[in-house]
Amino acid sequence: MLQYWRKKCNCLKISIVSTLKIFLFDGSLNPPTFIKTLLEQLAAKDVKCYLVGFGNNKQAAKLDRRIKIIALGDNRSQWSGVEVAVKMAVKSLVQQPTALQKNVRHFLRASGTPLRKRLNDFNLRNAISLHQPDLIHIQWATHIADVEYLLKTPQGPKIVVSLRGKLVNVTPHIDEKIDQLYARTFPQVDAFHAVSKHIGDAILSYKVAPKKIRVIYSGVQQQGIPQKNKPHPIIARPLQILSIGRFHWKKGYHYALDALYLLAQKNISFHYTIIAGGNNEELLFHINDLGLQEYVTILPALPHVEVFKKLAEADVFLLPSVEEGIANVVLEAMAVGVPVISSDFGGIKEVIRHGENGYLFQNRNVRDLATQVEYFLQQSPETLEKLVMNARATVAKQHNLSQLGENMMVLYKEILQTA
Amino acid sequence: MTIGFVLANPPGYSETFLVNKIRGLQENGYSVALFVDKPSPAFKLCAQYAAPGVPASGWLRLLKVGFYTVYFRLFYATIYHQFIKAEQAAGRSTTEGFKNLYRSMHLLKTRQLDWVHFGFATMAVGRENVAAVLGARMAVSFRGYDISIYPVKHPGCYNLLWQKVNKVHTISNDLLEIAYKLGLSHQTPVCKITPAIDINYFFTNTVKSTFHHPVQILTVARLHWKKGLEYTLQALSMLKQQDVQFRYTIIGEGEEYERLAFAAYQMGVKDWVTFAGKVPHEQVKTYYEQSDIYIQYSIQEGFCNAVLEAQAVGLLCVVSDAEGLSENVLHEETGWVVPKRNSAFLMQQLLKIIYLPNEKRQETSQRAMRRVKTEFSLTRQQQAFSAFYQESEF
Repeated sequence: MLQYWRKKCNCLKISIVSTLKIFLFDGSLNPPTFIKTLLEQLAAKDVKCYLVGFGNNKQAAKLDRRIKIIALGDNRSQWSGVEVAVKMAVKSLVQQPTALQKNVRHFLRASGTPLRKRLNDFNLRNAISLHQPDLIHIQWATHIADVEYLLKTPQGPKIVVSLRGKLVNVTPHIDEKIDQLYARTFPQVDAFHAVSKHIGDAILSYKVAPKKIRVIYSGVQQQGIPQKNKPHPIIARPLQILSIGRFHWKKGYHYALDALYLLAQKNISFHYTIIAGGNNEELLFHINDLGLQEYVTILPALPHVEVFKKLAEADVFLLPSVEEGIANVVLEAMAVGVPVISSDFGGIKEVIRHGENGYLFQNRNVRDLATQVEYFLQQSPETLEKLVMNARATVAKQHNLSQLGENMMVLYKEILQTA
Repeated sequence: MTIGFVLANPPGYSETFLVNKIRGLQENGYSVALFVDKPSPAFKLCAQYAAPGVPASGWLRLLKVGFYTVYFRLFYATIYHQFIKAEQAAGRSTTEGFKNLYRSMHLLKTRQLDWVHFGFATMAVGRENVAAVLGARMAVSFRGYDISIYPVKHPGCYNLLWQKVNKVHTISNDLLEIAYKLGLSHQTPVCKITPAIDINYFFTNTVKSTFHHPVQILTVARLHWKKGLEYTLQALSMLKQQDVQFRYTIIGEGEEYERLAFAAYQMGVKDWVTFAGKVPHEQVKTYYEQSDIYIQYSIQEGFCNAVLEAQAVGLLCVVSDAEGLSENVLHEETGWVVPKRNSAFLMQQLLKIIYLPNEKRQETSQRAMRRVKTEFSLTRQQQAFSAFYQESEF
């Protein structure tokens, strides 16, 4: 009997030791879909997965049961932060008294910073010392500031930082503090997950060893996506151009409108639909001022199924963005079988090869955009059919969402092994 | 005669246009009162009346609005009934009527107004019946955003205003044309009074002889999409490709800083562009004096005081053809007007100016200075406003 229990305990010990404990730190408790997907895929791989963020349990997204949620307190209410702090302090007093002592000391020392920030720090530090994760995966690069103290402790958890869009491509160039933060912390980070090679290269200037950067492309769920039958524009009706994405300056919609104005001047028949949600003063003014009211429709945000339906109905998908990591919506358009015309910003060139699986125009160049639409109209159905097939193949090969968790696991295991 | 101006805030020190207008009217024997959403203790020129604010919290809001409405109903019964009746006659719902009543209470309490003058057309939305109920005449100013942008987002928002307004003040012909398209009747009396600047403060007798090296280019504008700064930056990046050495300074702050700073970076002109942020009014003059070319390549612009100031100091001005700008600067006479939203055109124009012989530049600059001095002085503006209310006494 005693032997049986000893065996059982050993098994348990082994399983505890071998199960990877990972903190995914998103900042909030309701992360975007691609982070939710990553969490779910990791949880399915026998990894103890925690979604850590500011907020309370009520605000947390509904996720797979295997994913634990660590709510660090609602950012908007100080009391929520205090409540979490007290609960965690009591727990730490029993389980991690030394760490608690350190965390309290830090809390008291940081008297210059606002109380809310100090509470956030205290709660995050206690959560880390209580759960002792093997690895913390920071989803948004600027959050590296929250775990900067861990970079100096070699026995602490490994740190992985995701490099996505604006926080890497835009923010450091216009905010000196963020630039300094990256310069200070990035060389000590254990590994980076880059959403494109281009964005990975962007941090080499911070003296990051290239081998620490792993490109793992985002992807689309291949199953269940409706397939467009005829990829060529139907001449009998106006060319149906579609863009999808909320109104934000980085989407470059005003460039699209300027280009479409040129097409309208040339009497090219088209209709442009933007699925965005809400009205935007700037865009409405532009449409009105350019006299494009009859040519442009703005639709509210639609459910995913409806978006795919609209994609399948479109003749061409347009991405006029001035900056993106890699736009997922382009991958979806390619998977559906809609020819894509995109601006040639950073990472997109890793997905679209001009004339082979889509068309590129020079970023912010209105004339070039208009030229590409005209060029597209001159293509034969056979050329477009081939282009669409190539696009589908690219997405299937390079952007398969089901491999996201798998690829990320390889990265995690590698850095844990080097330890 | 008492004139009530309805504005969102009392004019700040730098808003010469409004401050001067009020001062001029007072000097000409008018009594002026200001009706604002948020009063400012710093403003001492005339009496201020604040609109009752709306508390953020639900319960407090209900309590305050309820109390004020009952109070108004008891002590201003006649006005109350007249206003509600007028709102009903205009086809507004009861809720809307009460909402408008609450927003206009500060105006309705003042019974002895001869004119209710809305500083922007947007200020008159929901308050179209105020003047009639008070037995006053109603005037409205067209300033830019209110006519060009707001109605695009709110179609039909001025339908009632067009019926009720007695006299219109526009700062440019272009805005008036847009207003006619929006439904303003051609029968409504209209008076164009352009903005004005303190000529004595800005005027210099010295005419700039040569350009600095690198050429100093300036824009004074809020960092807002309507100022067309992204197009300006793009034109400047093209200018850089033409091997022209320049430095560009933007004075002003705003919500689009990230967009513009990134554009400057991505277009490769980050080191050539300075975002100076908000600069005290007194220092702006120094910036004008140290620059060679002034650009105002707006997508939408009522008239633009900064362009007047730049011309007074002797800067060569390049502007877009948005609304009032082509009346502010006369193409190839007092400066240059370029079609908006076309960075290549702007770049070509800049290039031409940079290679223009010195005498030609000086001639343009002198013509601009002369025109600003004679047509856009504060005295002229004061006289015009004084007549604005007089000639309507029929």
